Amino acid sequence: MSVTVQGPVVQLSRRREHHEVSQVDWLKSRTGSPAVDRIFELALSYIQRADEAHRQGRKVVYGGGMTDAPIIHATDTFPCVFPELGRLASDGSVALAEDHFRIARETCSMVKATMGELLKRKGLFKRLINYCSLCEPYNAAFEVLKEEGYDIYSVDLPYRSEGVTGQRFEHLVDFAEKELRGLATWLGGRYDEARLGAEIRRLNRLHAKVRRVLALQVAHPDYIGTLETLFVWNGANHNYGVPGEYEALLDQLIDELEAYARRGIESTRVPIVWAGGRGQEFGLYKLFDDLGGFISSWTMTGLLLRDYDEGLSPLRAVARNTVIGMGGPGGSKDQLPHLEEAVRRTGSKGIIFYGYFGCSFSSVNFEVLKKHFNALGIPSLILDGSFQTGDPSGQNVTRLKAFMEMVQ
Amino acid sequence: MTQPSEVKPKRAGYFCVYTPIELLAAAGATPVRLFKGGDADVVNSGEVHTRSFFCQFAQYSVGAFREGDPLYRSIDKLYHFNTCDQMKKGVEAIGEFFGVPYRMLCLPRERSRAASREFMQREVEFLRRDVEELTGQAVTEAGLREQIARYNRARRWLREISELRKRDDPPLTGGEYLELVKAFYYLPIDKALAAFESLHGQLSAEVESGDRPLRIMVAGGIVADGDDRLTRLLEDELDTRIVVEDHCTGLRPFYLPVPEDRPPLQALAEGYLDQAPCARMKPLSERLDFSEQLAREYRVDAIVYVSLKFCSCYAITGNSFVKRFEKLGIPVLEISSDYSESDLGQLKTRLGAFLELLKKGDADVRHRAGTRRAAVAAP
Repeated sequence: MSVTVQGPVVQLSRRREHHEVSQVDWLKSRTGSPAVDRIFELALSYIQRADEAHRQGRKVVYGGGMTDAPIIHATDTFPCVFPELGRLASDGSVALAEDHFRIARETCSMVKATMGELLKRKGLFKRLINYCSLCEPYNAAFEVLKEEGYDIYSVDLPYRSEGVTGQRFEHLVDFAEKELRGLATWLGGRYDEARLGAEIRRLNRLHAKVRRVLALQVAHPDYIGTLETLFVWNGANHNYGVPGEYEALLDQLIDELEAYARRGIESTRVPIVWAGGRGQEFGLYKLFDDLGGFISSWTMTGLLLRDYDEGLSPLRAVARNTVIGMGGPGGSKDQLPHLEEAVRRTGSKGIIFYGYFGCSFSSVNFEVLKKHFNALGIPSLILDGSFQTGDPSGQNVTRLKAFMEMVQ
Repeated sequence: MTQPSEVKPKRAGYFCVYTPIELLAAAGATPVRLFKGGDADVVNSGEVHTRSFFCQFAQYSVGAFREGDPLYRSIDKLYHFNTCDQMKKGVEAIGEFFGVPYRMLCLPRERSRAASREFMQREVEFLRRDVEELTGQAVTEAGLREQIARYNRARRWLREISELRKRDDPPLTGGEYLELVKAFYYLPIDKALAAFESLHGQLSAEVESGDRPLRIMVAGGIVADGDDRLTRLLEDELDTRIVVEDHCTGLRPFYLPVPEDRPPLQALAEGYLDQAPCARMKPLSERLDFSEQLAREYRVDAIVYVSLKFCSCYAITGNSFVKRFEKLGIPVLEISSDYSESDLGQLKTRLGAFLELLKKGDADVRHRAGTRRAAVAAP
């Protein structure tokens, strides 16, 4: 069963602020899955807990949602990630960034929303990790944020363009490894290989469980919906700051999904692969469910669930996954095999490419990938959304409806 | 059978000034910088393979290939050190949609780190192997040293010619200086050298008139070949003189030479990393320091800071630039520009008002200049 919401799910005529409240309401609502309900609670309290950890003298850093997670955990640092920070950000945060930093309106909404939130929070913790090859606007924005007193470590990642393999690939990993050692030192004062090794093994175990949840959901998509899957997935690396509890919830959710599977209920939902960003336009995800679809794979960001190679030194393993797995650094065609595999494995009927308006790197990626899948006869749709909370644009709603009608 | 003298040299195209052209030349290729712009129709053509919110220069570059611009289509291979997102993705679009071979290389941002310098040297080595494969000609150490020395001579001439603009009444306009920059990128380097030397002699001999026009520095993103609206307005219509440029098609890339006292691949790696920085490099403070140094050196009265629409690097850091110069008491007009003709009148009005205040010595001008962004960004 899907999320039980109070009142109509998507009312596009409602005022934006109503939706911001509604988003929280959704996360507070009972889903029918006790495990997901608790994960929603963890999401809702996540930033407050990060603030509390800071007040109690713990190290807290903005970062940790990606392949850097083992390093952050291994240095006893509380990870505070941007997507969850973004859930707090409204149009007001965007306006604040445009006004205070005089950032042009055409700049990517994710960058502006984050900048606005960080400005509001500058009295709190001020350490932040920047990955240089992920996003150009963030690179520039974080340089500007330094002027607000933020202590920012830039991990100068290499760009892995199309077809880079062999010696050249290893050369990129060499550089990433050095940069990540710098990060570990910046975070913890020294690099503790044993701790990092333990974190890698723990995260590999967690990733396997998240993959199991996603596989069960593909087989039986009616038990939990898109938004629920998203929040399970979101916690895979940062664990909402509570690694032990998060893992126990994954076990519980797997039990729930397996029990549901045993009931043998058939689903008519249409599987679609989601590629690209994960914005805060909750109405879009819900609309997707309401139109009889479900997201069968969160590809691109899904690469962040790749296992760390336990046969390598821990830092090398993190460096390797970082060069491979961070969506931004890769060439435009880099995601092709992963998308093809996701479509094949899940029997998906189409692909949605979702990026933020103004995103400087995903736009060409999507054009290149769309061309490829058009040639294969697999329908795809490019949506330009926004990062901050709010209703989906009318244009996106119309296009998504038309797309779902077509693939059904 | 084709005689060696009849073999046409391979043409190695590049967009950004972080590409070590000495290495391309040492392998027998002809380096061709692709930096045309300014035509909205070509931009529209490029948008077909990008998006509406893509940088205008990157869109133009894609569009020029799509429209079959002879210079762009003459390129045998593109070499791109990944400077900004838009350009690297633009290069990938060119490869994907027009079948142009390309090699993407990495450019570290944190240039002062030892790891960055070592990494950059390895990237330059990869470039060497690739261009040798393209041309079939091995790069020798002596040949590379010779090219470094030759291009450094050209850089020195351009810097020395620019320094003539430190006079109260510069013997050449900013528009004329940009023509010399084009010569550096478009002409065979020996022809450009001869022209620079001769021109320097002529300009040095010019007698000063005693006039002192308003001295302007143009700073910010790329001013493409063909994007001359601002230059024409400032110099031809508003009677000011652009005395120095802090952008990648003006003085900036010629300000510092490549070192000649170390192994040549290392010299290229370090020389290109250490050049006067683009806003894409870190930390931003070093870029602002360089801008300040230029402004002082050339005794500028005011600065026009231009960023192309959707240019993340220069648009987002523009406010930091303005604040730095506000503290120094040098007025800055910040402009968000594109290649359309529709805002020409608006641009002229804004520049005119800004310069009028400067000429009047209005004490409030700094404050007004500093708040230009909001007005410029308004529809």
